[in-house]
Formats: sequence, C-alpha cells, structure tokens
Amino acid sequence: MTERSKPTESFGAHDAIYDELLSAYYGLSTDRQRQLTASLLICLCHRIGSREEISRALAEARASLPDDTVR
Amino acid sequence: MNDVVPPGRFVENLFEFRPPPGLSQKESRKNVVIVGAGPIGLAAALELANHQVHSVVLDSRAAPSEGSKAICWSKRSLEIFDRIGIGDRAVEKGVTWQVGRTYHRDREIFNFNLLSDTGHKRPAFINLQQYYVEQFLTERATENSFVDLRFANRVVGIEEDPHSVTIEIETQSGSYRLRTDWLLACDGVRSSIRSMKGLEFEGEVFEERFLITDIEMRAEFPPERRFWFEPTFHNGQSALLHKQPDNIYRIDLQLGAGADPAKERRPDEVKRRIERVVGTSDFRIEWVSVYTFQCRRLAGFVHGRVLFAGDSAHVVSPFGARGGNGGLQDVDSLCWRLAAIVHGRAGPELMRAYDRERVFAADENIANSTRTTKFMTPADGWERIMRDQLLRLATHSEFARAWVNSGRLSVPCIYESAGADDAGLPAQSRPGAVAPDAPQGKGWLIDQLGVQPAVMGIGCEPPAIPGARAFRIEVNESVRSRYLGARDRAVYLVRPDQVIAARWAKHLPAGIEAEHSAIWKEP
Repeated sequence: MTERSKPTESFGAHDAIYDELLSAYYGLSTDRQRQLTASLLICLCHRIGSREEISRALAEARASLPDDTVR
Repeated sequence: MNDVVPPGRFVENLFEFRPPPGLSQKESRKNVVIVGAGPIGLAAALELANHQVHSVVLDSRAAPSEGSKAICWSKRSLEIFDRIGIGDRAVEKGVTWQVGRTYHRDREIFNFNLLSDTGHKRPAFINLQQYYVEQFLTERATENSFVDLRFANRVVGIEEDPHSVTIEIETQSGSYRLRTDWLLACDGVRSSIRSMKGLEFEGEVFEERFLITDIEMRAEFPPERRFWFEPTFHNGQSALLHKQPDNIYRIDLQLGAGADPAKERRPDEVKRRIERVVGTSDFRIEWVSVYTFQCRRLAGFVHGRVLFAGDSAHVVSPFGARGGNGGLQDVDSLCWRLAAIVHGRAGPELMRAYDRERVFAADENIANSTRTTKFMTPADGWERIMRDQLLRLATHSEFARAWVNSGRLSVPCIYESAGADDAGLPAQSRPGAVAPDAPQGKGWLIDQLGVQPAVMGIGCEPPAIPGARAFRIEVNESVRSRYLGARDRAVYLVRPDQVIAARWAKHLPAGIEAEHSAIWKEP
C-alpha cells in the first residue's frame, strides 16, 4: 500500500517488470501461455507467502475483469 | 463395496447370532443403543464402558466386514485403541509405515517421512485391514460386561419421543423392541437410521470412478505409501500402492468418469491392470470394488435422541485416511459427554458441544479430501492446466513438492476453544488440541491421561480440584518443546478425551475450578 501512495519513485521498475512479463509470453502458443501463467502464479504465490496478500491480489485482479465476464 | 472375495479370516462363532432376551420378554429401558458393530460402533461401546455406561450394539451382519476397507490407522486412532484395549494388538499385527513416495509419470518427485518427530508412543500410521480391527474390537466387546453385542439383529424401524427412542428389531427367530434414552447410529455410509429419519447428506459427489483392490502377493515392496500421477503403466491416470499385513497390498486405480463399472470389475480386466502396476502376474485378488467419491455430511449430527457418528454422519474420499480415523475421533468427542449425561452430571444440551466440534472437524476433513480429489482428478480446462503445471514445477522446484496433493493424512483437528491460555506456551498444545504425547520415564504421557479429567503440573505442583486427577509430570526435552515453550512452568487442564481444556503459565492457575466445570457445560 505504501508503494501506491508514492508511485513516481518506482515508475522505472514497474515498466521494466511489465516489459519482462510481456517478453516471457512472446512467441508462445495460447496453450503454452496458459501453462506459463499457471506456473508463474504458483511461483509468485510461493514467494509472496501470505494467504491474506494473495487473496487481496486476487480480489483486485477479479475486480478488473470487464463487466460482461464477471459472473 | 461389493463383488467381494471374502477374506475368510475371522474367529469362528464370534459373530454368531444368539437369541436376545427381548424375544421372550420385554427388556428394561436402555441408556444407549448403538446401531452398527463396525469400528466406530464398537469403539463407542468400549469407550462408553470405560465410563461405566452400558450399551446394546445391534448389527444386521453376522460376519466381519468384507474386504479390507479402511486400512490406515493414525497415531490418534492408535491412542484411542490403547484406551479401549486393542492398541498393542493393532500395532503388533499392523504394518508400521512412515515413508510416502510420490511419483509423476515414472519418476519420484518427492518423499516424506512421517516419523521425523520422535518421542511418541505410537507411530504416525499403521496399515491394518478393517476386518482385523473389527475382530479385535469384537473380542474385547464380547468379554466386556458393559457391552451387549447382538449380531444378526436388524433395525427395521424407530419411533421417537422427546426423551427416548423405541427400536423395532428383526432377527431370524422373530422381532422385538428396545426402548433407549439414546440411539447412536454408527451404521455406515448407507446408514439405515439416516434413511429412516429421512436425513440427507449435503456436499459434493465426484464423477470419477476408481478401482480399489486388495491383492495377495509375495513381494519385496517396502512398507511405504506410493502414489503415482500419470504413470506410464496406467494410461496416465493416478495409482496408489499400500502394503498391509499378510502380504496383502492395497491398490487404488483411477479409471476416469466414463469407466464402465461392470466391465472394470471383471477379474480378467482387474488382473490385466494390476499386472501392469506390480510387474508380475503372480498374485491373488482378494477383494475388488469400483467406487466414486463423496465428500458430504449431514447438516447436524445430533437429532433429538438420535446421534450420528462415523460414515453415517460424514463421508470423504479415501486419500487422506480421514474416514475411519475421523469416525474414531467422533467417538472420542462423543462418549465422555454421553456418559456425563447418562450419569446425570450434565444435561442433554451437552450433545450440542459434540455436534459443534465434530461438524467443525468433518468440514476440515471434507475440505482436505475435496482438495485432494480435485488435484487428483482435475476437470478439463483450468484445473487440469494448474495441476499439470504444478507437477512439472515440482520436478525441479523444491517448494512446489509440498503443493503436490496426493492426500493430506489424518491428524486431529484443533477445536475452537475459549479455555484460558497463555501466549508464551507452544501452539501445538493450545486449548482445543489433543494433548501431545511425550516420553515419561519408561512410559508415556498419553497413558497417564485416563478417561477422567487431568490437571498436569509441569515444573510445579498441580492444584487439587475435586473430580480431576492431579499429577506432576517429568520435564524433559519433548515436554519442554511441546508444553512449555518460552515458559519454565505451566499447569494444563485436560478433558476426558485428552483434549486440552485450558492452561496457565502465570497466576497459576486462576479460575481452574470454573474451567473444570465448564468442560461439562454447553456455553
């Protein structure tokens, strides 16, 4: 939450991470992209470690789905 | 479970029908009638006997169960077995195992050793066919004057009023009735008492079919649990191999949702599959069944004077050994309370505490077993992608091995408790947890905790309170890590089911008498 209140300081880092996420998926078929996403999720969850943080992230992500796909 | 090759190993006459007194004269009103002489019903009768409560046990069968059914008995179950007199026999006959190996395709991805934590009287698990457990329990029940065991007595009807249940029973020599204050339904997953009451399970039923079989085979397989995801010898479905006494091996094979049970049960079909698992045709099929999983329970386990325990109350998939072991823990939570009601120490409302605790436990068991089932039989799409990727990840990322779910083995749940606590004491022995065992001289702490409440002084004298046994325990490494943590002394109050009720490390022990009487009160 503290990062969010001071976004300007880490623009560069975000951009680089975003770029890395894109690069990792270039050239992969849709199936392989989904496989990579699955593995990446598990690795990220392991690194975050906190169930609470993960639930919060999941809720934020779900809220970003376009309205017509939210059930 | 049907299509059975009978095991044929049981004591002659043990399960024989003997005409009950009710056939010739009206029987006196009973305190407790138990329906079902499986492991749960018999354990309940013997535990009630420990509390000086008489019971009649009715079972429609005149033989022990067929096939080995439940095979994995947990440390907690062995502690309960000790209390009802079959612990040594079970451990002597059973196969003690501690290593579990999990494979993906034909490669081992990880293994676990359950015995990493020493200093307990009983091992983490033994494997022992259910028919042995039933035989041992039946022998104990037969020689116990508090237990009136009646085989080939079929319950065909019940009538209830607010204070009793009247049971209609059929035998080969005629019908009779029994009236009882309490009816304990331990009659399994297809409980006839549950149907008579019109009660339904709630929860998930899984479509996936599994083949379960016990084979007799002379082999050098070590006493380990082996689980395969997508083995090459079984068309990419999952497989489990587990060793039992008498050269019997349990094999579970996932067949898929579309499998035809009639075809899969055919001996030639079963034989063909098993040959591929064990790599030989030199075995004899002892028992085979095709089944689907359920992870379901009754909404409540207490219905007036009718109480449900074991599979009649809740069912889970077998990959966590949470069925039989969960049922024995029901017995643990139920019997001392029922005894207190029968002896007039507590009112019938105390049964609500049983209901609350064991519904909570059943939900934990159901959650664990549902998650395992989803992992083992993922639905097409996202579930499948996640499962397969996790397995791939596990072969090279060590952390992911712990995420692989081939069964989360039964451990007693920790009940919610409002008992007094001290934050400096270890979490594993907090109020609501089963008192952890520890060595005591040449014996064990668990054996010092009887069926009476106990007050344990650790590094100090325990206060004497009426109705509880107070004793000081030996402080050693195990006791220090399991009971003291950062403190140098403590007092623990332990319930009759060896669950910790309250504990103190400072102000020893403020309010212990109130905590002691709270054991028998439903808040």
